[in-house]
Amino acid sequence: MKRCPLSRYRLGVVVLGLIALHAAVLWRLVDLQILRADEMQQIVQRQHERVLELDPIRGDIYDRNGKELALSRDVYSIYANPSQVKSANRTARQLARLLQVNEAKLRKRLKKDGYFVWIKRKISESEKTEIEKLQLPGVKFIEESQRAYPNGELASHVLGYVGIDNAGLAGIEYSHDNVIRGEPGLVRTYQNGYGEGIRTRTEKRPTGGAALVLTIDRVLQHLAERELVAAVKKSHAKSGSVVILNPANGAVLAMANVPTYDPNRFQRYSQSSWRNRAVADAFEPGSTFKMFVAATALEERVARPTDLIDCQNGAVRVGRRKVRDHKPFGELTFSQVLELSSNVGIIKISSRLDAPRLFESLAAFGFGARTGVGLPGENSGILRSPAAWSALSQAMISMGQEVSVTPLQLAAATATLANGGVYHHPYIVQRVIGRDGRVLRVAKGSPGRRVISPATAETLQRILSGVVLRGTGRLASVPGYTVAGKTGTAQKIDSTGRYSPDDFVASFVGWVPLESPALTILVVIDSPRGNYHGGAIAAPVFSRIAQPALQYLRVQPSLLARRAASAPPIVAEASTASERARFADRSR
Amino acid sequence: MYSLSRAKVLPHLDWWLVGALLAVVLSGLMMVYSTGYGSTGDDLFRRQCVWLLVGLGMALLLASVDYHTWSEFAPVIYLVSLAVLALTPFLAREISGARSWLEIGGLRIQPSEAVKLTTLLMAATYLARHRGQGLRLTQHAVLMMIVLAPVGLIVVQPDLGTAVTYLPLLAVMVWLSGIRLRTLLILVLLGVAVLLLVGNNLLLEHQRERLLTFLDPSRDPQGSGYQAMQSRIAVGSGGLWGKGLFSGTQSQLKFLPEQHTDFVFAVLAEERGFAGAFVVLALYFMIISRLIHAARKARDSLGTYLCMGAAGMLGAQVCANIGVVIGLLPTAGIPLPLMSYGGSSLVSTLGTLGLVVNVHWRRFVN
Repeated sequence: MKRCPLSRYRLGVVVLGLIALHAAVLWRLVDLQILRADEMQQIVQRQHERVLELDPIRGDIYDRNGKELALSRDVYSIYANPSQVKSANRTARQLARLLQVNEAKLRKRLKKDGYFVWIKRKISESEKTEIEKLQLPGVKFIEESQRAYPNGELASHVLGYVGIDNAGLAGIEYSHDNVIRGEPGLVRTYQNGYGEGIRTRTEKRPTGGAALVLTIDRVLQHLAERELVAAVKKSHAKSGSVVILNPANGAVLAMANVPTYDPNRFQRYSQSSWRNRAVADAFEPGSTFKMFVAATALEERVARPTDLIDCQNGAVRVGRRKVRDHKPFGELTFSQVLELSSNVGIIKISSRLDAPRLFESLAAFGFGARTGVGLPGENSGILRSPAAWSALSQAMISMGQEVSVTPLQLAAATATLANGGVYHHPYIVQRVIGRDGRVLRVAKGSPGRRVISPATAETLQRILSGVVLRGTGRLASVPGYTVAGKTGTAQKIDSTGRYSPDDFVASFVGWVPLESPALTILVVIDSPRGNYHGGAIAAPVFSRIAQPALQYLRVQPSLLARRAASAPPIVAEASTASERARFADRSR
Repeated sequence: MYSLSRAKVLPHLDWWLVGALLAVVLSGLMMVYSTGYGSTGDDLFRRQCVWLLVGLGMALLLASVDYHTWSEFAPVIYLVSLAVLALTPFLAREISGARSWLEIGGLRIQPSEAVKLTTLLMAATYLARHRGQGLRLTQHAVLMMIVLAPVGLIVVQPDLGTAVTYLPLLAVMVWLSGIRLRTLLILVLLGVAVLLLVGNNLLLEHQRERLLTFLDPSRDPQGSGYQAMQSRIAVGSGGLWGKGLFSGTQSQLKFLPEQHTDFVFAVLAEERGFAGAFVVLALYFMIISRLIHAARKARDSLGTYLCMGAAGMLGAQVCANIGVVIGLLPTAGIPLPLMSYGGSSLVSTLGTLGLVVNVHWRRFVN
């Protein structure tokens, strides 16, 4: 009997066919499971693993007395799982009506593949209840944290604001974001093929951010803003800033700008109103800068307060340029040069100084460098080194041109004069407090660097109190206290690069009380209309802020001034409108 | 005359075949258990165990009675099975568009699976009877009709997937009948022509969709392409060593539908990795090579045809099922023999293997 009825050929073909089939399968398995395993595993992970970030609670921001400036509160956001939404059209229509969102866009989003789309972030409590009543399948809520600024516009430029994801976008919120943001939590959810979450694993709990205690005083900030807004409005100015420092340590007690905005709804304001002009904008200071040139001259002993300076009847030739005073002066004492703000006088005093020495001294007052106050977008201002100076430069700089300063720089430099000659870097964050209440960091304030001797400082203090007592700054006076300070009226450079005949920056910077200064206050008004003199526009703002501020701080009125206040103040009474105009500072 | 002496039963049994067979069946059970783990699994698992016992009984029955005896009754058995098949659409309840399941006492039986065995027996019997003289054209036609008759009845149910699994049997039988290449070519061309003519009408909407989706998977990633895509992803993500039993994310988490029936291999590949998939594929290959071995050692042509038919049918179906799972072929609804959940396929396959054991046992002339 034939053992096998098959030819090797017939059998061989079948065997080869079967081998080929198995080989094809094996090859494909190698391809999928070994060569492309990583790729496939990634797809799997995308399919069934969702990583959710849990918003941490942002740390609160307080003023120096523990009053809330910015805090976080819980709100709900609404999202959808499109794979569970029954009717995208109906859902979109109902939600769009309730939430005032674009229906077409929402419909499109609800029709997307996937498991998560936002419908609206941070909705109100009433919106939530309304939507819950609809019981829409696939529509869900998630708790989020929302930033709130209970005082509205107060200190808006200092605080800044946060975006929808609670990331700080400006101000302290931005510069200290990594401190107050906290660590987001991480939740991994696993879901099955039907898009149902089956398992959730919290890998990391969110940790709240640290709280900040600022040096800002809510009351002083309010006073500064109230008076600044009024002054800018009254003078039809473009903008303005007020900075209040504690001259003893550089703590920023108030920082106000106009135009301002409400950080709770910052998007509704123009971008220019978000600008923290007090640190971001530099301007040519004009006559206020004379204080620091005078301080250097005294410190270098090239001049004494009683020195007589020939002011050449109001004009001096510097190179090809002729510099004029706002009023012709004959011989003035050193003190009078400042009191009356003579350009000719300060140029002549300045010419007694070495250029490098003058530069060094001005740099020591903090000009030309960022203060490092801890706010974003700080401008360094311009103070060129002597190597870059022209023949004109030293004269121009001594009257506050060819340099630019930020309001904060100017305030900090003035605080140096007020406190007896020590420069403190201004700072705004006083304490960082951890979630557990532990104080993580205390700002000690910079130890300070001595710029001028106490004797020089005292001499200047006396001279500058004269500015307010007898000179251009008389409207800055505060009944019961002795004020020292300096006015400034600087022409602005217009778009053609020349000094504009109409646009000025009016300023006054000073401190009070003279003997033991509690406040250094700078007022800058940009482009006022009508009267544009610092003494007329900015000095009164100083007075109006300082008066209630001193009462609030319970600063003792000075003996000397009290006596002056009880008797009719001769000088102040003599200051009629015409005289005010005569004394008004015109540093050109 | 072909009686088996008791002393030779065990030594003459093909232990390689039986060993590989049991290994595959047990891995199948394990996978069925794994897919149902924690839910309805215990139930599925217990049922499959019962079916396994039934299948083993069937195999024993088919192995112990001399295959020549079976062959003598082949025409009767075949005709009866055709009759059952023809009646099925009238008796069956419609399940996912097809009337192919009979319910008897709570058990669901798929006649189209069982008829595979009777068709094999009939085709081998017919071929063995007429092969000696060389087949005439009419006899070729009869041989083909023997296989195509149940195919036609199954297509009507309509259950194209199961119908397709008969085609390897047809191919192997016709090929082994000693058909000339020229005739074969003409027949293939004819077959293709017929398919093209009727094919479009034959395919149901969902089948046409499956085919189109196979040709262009991005056509419909959520619909019929979904299963194919998920299956491929499940296999690939298993990597070399797999994610461990019960830990297949795709199959356990319902990303992969039909995971315990037609896509059980995907579960294996995901949870046991390439290593497990390779071992199982190798076991299947071993079973098939033992079938071919049995065919060559068979004492007569009937035995040879039975074994070759079984080898062709089993080998092709294994590769077709895995081919679907790994995205080489369009989704067809073909179970994986010996592993997929489902009694009919398991019992039919075990029965077929019983026949092969039968042939192998009786390979020596007394």
